[in-house]
Amino acid sequence: MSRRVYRGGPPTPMNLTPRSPQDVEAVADEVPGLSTFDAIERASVRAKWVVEIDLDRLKAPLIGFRDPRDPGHVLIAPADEEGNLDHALLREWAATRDAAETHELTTNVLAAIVDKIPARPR
Amino acid sequence: MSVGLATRTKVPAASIENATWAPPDPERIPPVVDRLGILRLATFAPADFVAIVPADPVEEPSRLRPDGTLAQPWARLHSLIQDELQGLWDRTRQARPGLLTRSGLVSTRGFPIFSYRAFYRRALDEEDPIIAGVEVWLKPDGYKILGEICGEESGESHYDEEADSSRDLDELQRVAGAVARRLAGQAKAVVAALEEA
Repeated sequence: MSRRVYRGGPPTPMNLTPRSPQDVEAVADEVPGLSTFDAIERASVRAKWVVEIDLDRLKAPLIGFRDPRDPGHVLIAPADEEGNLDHALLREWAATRDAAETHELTTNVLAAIVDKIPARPR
Repeated sequence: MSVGLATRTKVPAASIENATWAPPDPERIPPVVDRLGILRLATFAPADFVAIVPADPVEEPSRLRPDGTLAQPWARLHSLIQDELQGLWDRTRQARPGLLTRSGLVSTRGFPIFSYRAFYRRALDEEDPIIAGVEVWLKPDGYKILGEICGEESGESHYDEEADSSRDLDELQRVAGAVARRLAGQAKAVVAALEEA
């Protein structure tokens, strides 16, 4: 299983913080969280460059949840002691998206970024 | 199913503490003497968004100062890039009055500097503002420098340029400065991007 996932857009704190409510409130069996993909082409529908995130570099409580409806879709979100989504912490994280101070979970994601690569061969 | 879980225990307080950001304190950056022997005050451009990932003292001892703020020459490079982006902002708002802007700085082990400006059409909380910035990425044999104008959420690129530098920090300063200057000449691209969305 690939331990690297990709997200389009620049490595700004805002782009690496989940949106509220879109990335927080799950509909049906959706998994909420910061959306990433394990294939570059899926992360770059409009983006020319993608950031590469090494899931092994994420520190607890952040983990990658596989989307049960779409295994290539990986949602980065905080987990509780049992490994289940910590919804309260995810809401707290998303609420800071426009804040001047960067949330520690955003810093956690930034620290796991290992490269920025072109989405298509140049 | 989950992936990437190193441990399923709660994060220890110490780890949380290590992940916090540290605002740079311009007063604590000392003057430096450049290669021409000219005393320059090492100014550090303030930024509205600052995210600095703590450094590993063994693997990257020179990115940050002991207090967690950005070390020279990174602070100086950030200031140089922000000076150029100020010119981009001036030209962009002349062409399209009423815009808003905020500056940003991100520093991690993978990319010691991402210095940028966000451009907003009407409101600071609007969707997909335009980001113009310069990133310096650590590569095995030097640095990769990227200048890009793109949507913050869509990632849609409106201008991009890639350059390389050796590990020599004077060369990096020159190459990154040149990328920033060319980026600063792209006011039309910023205006077009803002009008496109």
